Amino acid sequence: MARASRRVAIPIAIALVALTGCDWRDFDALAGRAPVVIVGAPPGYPASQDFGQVMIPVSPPTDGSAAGRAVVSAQGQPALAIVSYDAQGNAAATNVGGALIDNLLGIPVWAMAEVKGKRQALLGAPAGSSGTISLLDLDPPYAGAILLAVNEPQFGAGVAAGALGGGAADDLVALSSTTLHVFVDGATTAASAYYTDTGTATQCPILLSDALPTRHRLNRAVRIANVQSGASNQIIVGTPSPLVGGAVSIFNVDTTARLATCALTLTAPGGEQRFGEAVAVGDFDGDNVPDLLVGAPPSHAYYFRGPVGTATPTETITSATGIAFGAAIAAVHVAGEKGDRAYIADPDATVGGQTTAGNVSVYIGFSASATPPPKMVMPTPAVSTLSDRSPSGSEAFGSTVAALPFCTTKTLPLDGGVDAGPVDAGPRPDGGATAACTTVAVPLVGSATSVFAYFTLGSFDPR
Amino acid sequence: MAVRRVALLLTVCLCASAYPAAAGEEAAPDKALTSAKEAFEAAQAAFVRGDFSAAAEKFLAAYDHKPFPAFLFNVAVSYEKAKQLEKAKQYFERYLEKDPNAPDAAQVKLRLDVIGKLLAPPPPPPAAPPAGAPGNPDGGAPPAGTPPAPGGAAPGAPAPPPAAFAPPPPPVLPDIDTKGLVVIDSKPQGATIYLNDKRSGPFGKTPWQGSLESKPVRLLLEAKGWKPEERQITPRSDKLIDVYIALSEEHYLGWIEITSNIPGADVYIDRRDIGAVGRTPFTGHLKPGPHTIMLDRFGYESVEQTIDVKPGTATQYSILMKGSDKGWVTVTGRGAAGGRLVIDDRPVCTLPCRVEVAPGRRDVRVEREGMEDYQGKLDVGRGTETTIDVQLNPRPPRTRQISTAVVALVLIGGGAVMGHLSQQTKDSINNDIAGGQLVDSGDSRFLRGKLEAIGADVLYGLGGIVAITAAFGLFSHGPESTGMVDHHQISLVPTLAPGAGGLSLTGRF
Repeated sequence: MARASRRVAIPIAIALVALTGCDWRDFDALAGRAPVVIVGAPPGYPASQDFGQVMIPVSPPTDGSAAGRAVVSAQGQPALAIVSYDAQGNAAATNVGGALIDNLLGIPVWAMAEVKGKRQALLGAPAGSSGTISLLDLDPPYAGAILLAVNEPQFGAGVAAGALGGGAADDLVALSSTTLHVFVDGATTAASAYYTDTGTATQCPILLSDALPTRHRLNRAVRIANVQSGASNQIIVGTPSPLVGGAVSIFNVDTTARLATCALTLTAPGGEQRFGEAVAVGDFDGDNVPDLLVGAPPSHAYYFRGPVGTATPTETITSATGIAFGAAIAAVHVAGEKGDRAYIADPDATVGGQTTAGNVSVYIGFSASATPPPKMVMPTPAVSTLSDRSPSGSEAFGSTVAALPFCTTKTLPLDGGVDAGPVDAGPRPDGGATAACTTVAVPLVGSATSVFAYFTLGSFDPR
Repeated sequence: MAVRRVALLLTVCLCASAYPAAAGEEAAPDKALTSAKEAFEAAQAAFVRGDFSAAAEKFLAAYDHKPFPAFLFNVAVSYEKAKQLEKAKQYFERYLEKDPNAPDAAQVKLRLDVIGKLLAPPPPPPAAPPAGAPGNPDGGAPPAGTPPAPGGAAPGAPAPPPAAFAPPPPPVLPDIDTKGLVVIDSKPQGATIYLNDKRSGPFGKTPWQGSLESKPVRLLLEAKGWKPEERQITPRSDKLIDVYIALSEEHYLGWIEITSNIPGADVYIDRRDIGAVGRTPFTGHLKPGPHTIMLDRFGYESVEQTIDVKPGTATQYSILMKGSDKGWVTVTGRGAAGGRLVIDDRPVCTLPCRVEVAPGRRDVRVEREGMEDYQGKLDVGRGTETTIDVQLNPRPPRTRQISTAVVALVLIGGGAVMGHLSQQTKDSINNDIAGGQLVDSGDSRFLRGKLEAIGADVLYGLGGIVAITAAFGLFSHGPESTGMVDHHQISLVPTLAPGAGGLSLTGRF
């Protein structure tokens, strides 16, 4: 009996021991394949609950050390972090400390723009009666320095970088509450005040009232783009107003005369005070001409088909339940699609019963057919709405929306009827060094505490 | 049928004619013995009354009627009780003269020594003690417990060392009692006396007198050509028991003598279930007719022989016994009683036991509930007895191991449940992703599934460890049971003796 028991029990014991459970690492791998990658404040970041309301995506590094990168700032105190995505979409955030943060003297960075030629970010830190602009390296060790401090109210409330004329280097744009500064080729020695709004201007208002709530002044809409099909790029400035309807001003810039002249002013069709709080430039109708999309919370966004020649919007996008609909807007080109998608955020939207949880509505404004020439459609409601799957109150999902340039080696799908892949070599879209990858856009959505990257919108996952 | 009726009638008549004669002659064939018995009983009555001198005289009178040495012993005892040690000594000495081989001769001699010392003159007095020293008026040692004499040494004065003046203690005679007496006689004299049964062999021959233990005993008297008789008696120390048996001639029985080349073999007649009737050489009467004689002896094959007993005849049967071709295994030992002996996977007996085993190499196992098995291989030889003295050691209790195994099963079961939950979570996430759901990396299911997987792994691991522990404990042994193996060679050796020849049993150990 005892021998028989041994003969049976020993193999059973071995079999039991040989049983192993699930591999918990499967879930890490599975999380890596999640369509949406969330990243929060990194260790050492001084404002762990203030991460994502000020954010810009930047070009991926040229050394291939990351497939995508973004800069995140806090709105309540000086705090900067770099979020890097690897080729599999895994995100890692790095706190940026050092002298730059110390020199900001407690003033948070509210506006950011990428200086592509220098692989730097232009940071604006406005205060009540003054402000600074700084430059931050986009590659480790992420060194930074204050470029200029100006005693103008809210100097740095809006910043931009791009080609406006002059040399090859990007020209820098910075706004105070009253003045548009242009630093040609990034030089800060020459006179930079190109346009000043004294409050009496009838055209191209840029006066930013400090009576606006802080949230409405974050990420001030300043873009450099050729939206009128002119000879050169223009400066587009969105200006919400607490008293009258907001406006979007389009400036032509003469770098020689150091003068910005008003090309066109877009006023709020519905008199919305927050008209111009967010502005996006993109080819929404797929005709290869930049269009303009202007947010006008609480419930509208206006589409101005490029070239923009009139103040009358081409289309109006309305959210019947909007609370801050249009507070953030982005144009995102999904690989394989003819035009850009419009991402319009409502960070105050109620989701799942949670107030101020926020959401982002996605609209398609291009026609599926190539002929006749595409026409803006902008269906209402949105084709899809993004939100946190576990929403919480005051999460403010959609405080920022942007398109992350993501470096992928995967074969791209047909893009606007043209086979775009395989793309494993060639010049990078950002003009960086040749790399064995192609840059595609990945939607980034910022909330009060996190940044969400949507890798599988559309049928193509670049990871 | 007619022949059988005649034989039965004849038997009954013979018994009827023989028994009354025996009973009449048994009563008092010897007047001297009757007188001696009367004197003995009178002496015992006086002894009980404490009239020891009269008792001595009565015992002496009994001796005059029948000179049994026991009477002299009782005379000596009576005089000793009457404090007439000189006479006591005299009669003890006469007792030994009459029966120098008496079983109690040694004790009587020791008693005589003590009496001699008591009768010896007292030792000379020791040197005079110092003045004032306490002492007896006669100058001897003071009796034990005697207080110091008045006017002696003052309290506190140094006392003389007691050893210097202590005389040797007087010898003490241990208590003694009179002897009973059993007198066994028969007609004819010379009959063999057996006590209780014949298996212990002959006790003596008639006439016999002596003392027996004070407990019931069965007397068997047997004489060749005479019908055996038996009596039940209860000897006592204060009684003279006179047994006289007149044997009647036995004409209708046959007298047999059974011998074998192997002395001491158990003798069975006709049946084994009533046990052996004696051992070889065996003598006795048997009813006429066919009988089966069976002889058993360890190490030898059993022998059966049919004999035909003729009435009134004496026949000697010499039966040859052969050594056995088998071997034997005997298992005893501490903690083995009640265990089971298994030879070649076949249970054979309950311990302690001895079994006959075919010669050869055998697997032997001793099992007992709660004890570790003893296992071994034995080379069983022909005519060899192999003795295994096993010491079974207790097996560790399994209760704890079973409890541990249950815990292991619970843990492993918990692991399986956790693993199942983890798999469900993983499937749920995969399904959502495959279904186009925008599952984010912060989804709580990732952490939950990971914890479930880790929990499953931990439970599996713990369960495995506990299971191994349980299995190890379950199959672990206590101290090995051991056995001491002895081989005893039993063989037959030709033997020649004066007037006899045959085989004798020898053993090598």
